[in-house]
Amino acid sequence: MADSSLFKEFAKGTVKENPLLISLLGMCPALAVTTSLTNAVGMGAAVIFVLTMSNIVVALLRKIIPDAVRIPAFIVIIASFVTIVDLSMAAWVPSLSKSLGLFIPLIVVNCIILARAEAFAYKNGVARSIMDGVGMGLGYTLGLVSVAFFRELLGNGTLFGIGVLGEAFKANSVLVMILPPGAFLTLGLIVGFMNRIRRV
Amino acid sequence: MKEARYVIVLTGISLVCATLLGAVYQVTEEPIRQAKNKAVVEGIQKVLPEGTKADADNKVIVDESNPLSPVIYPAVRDGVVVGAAVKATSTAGYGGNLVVMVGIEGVPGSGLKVFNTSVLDMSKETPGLGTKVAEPAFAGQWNNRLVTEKALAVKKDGGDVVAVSGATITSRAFTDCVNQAINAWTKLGPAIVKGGSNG
Amino acid sequence: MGLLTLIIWTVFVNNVILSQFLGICPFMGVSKKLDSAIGMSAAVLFVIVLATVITYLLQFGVLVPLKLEYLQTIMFILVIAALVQFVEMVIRKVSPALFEALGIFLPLITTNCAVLGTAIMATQKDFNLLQAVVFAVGISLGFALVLLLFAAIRERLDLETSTPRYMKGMPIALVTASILSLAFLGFSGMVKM
Repeated sequence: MADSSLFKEFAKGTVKENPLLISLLGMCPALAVTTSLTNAVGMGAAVIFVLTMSNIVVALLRKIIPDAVRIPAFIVIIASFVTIVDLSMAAWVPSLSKSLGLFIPLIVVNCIILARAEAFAYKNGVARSIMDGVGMGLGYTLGLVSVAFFRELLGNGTLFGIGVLGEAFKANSVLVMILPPGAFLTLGLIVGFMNRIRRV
Repeated sequence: MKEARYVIVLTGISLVCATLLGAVYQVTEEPIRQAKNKAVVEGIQKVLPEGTKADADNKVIVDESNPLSPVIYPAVRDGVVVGAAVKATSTAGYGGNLVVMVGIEGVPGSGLKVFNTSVLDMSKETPGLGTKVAEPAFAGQWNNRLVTEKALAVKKDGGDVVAVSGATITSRAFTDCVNQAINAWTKLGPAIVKGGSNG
Repeated sequence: MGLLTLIIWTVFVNNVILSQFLGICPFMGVSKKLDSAIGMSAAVLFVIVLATVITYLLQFGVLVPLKLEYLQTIMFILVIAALVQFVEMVIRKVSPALFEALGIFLPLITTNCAVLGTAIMATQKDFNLLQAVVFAVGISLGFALVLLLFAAIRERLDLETSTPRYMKGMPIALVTASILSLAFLGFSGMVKM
């Protein structure tokens, strides 16, 4: 019984309560880094790490952290893991670190992480918090990938940098998809589509 | 007293985090430095012809007070300075700075030629659009290009550099980098050549 | 670079919301009504400018000399969080009515990526303090401009058009933002940085 409940915590983040496409959190990176699938996956991985680690620490310390100072405590914990990710990426995947740029430190203000710490990790055990963190992180990554898929394919004719629609398309691709308007449009249509299939 | 508990908990968490971060910083400091260096070393290798070498540690900073100043790496063949790889930064990129390594053949006064170029940092340009300046279609026009008195400019600005369609800003920034590199070598080259290869 | 050019660049050419994708969450949340948009813009202006000044001084006065640059993220966000708390207290004392009107949006300014984003950018762009302040002001003005434009559009959108049910709310707002962003693309290249 514990297993199925743990799995439920994991699964809810991926579809039913997808943080990006359903709860509409963390939209800034979803527009900024989705110009390529590589960047989207890279950002997703970073968010999964920070979210899971901060969930673990908050769940571990939840009995010690007084309610009145929980927000500053969360911020310090989250910011620390973000810095760890930032330094690690600069050291071992420098080109990805350069591409994601400003948005790596900005993970600290990604509402998803603070929201999960407050709504879940502060009130639940470590095991369930891990499931919640990984599930939500994965769901967020799926959201990023879905936007990046269309933007990179139509805007550049490639997927993960590999040409799939031919050279002719690449030279005359739908440029606007790579530019800011394309970002808003793609995200808007995908969220609308999600609403449609959920019959909202 | 409740407040004391708040302070203790917060300070405790902060101290642990700060220590952890300090440790991670120690571990990553060297790899980060090497990653930065690697880009420069590879860039230098790419922009210079066979047999000509430049040392990433042997560099001349044009303007010490400017962190974005061009940096000259004198290129040597058989012990003689025959050109330079110059790292130039343009602040006129689409979203920020564009950094290009320009390989120049020749010494000032006896005719200069741009041998090759390599983009070191185009992270602020639009992927798939501005980043096209790194592709042969645009970058190729710099190879073996003779340097003339006239400063280089894109066609829109009266020059004869063909910009990437839809990415005029990035193309301009790239051209700016090449101009900076040429100017830097023209100005400081003679002194460097006189000093011989001080590797 | 010229201060006027800097303002034009931050407000139009490289608009914080429509080009740099910062401040999207409050943008979508607050832009439904004109008066909350105005209140939010004022609060954001105040916080961004103050935060930029403090973090700029912190970066170049403390972090860089002590080689603690890697603590930038954590120190900056703490400064911003403290600043927002402080602003909340001040507004509550000085104008309870404004405090009521802004409600939940005030603490949310802490997680507004535009604030942290601006603070970080101001230290990366080789600005002096005055340029950093003007940069922050420009960012806030750009934020306000788009927020107000958008609120005006959305008020009409909700009343007058018949959007398909599944596009109502966020989806159509995003599509509208995309058109606005397209319009702002016309400004690119207007000034040289």
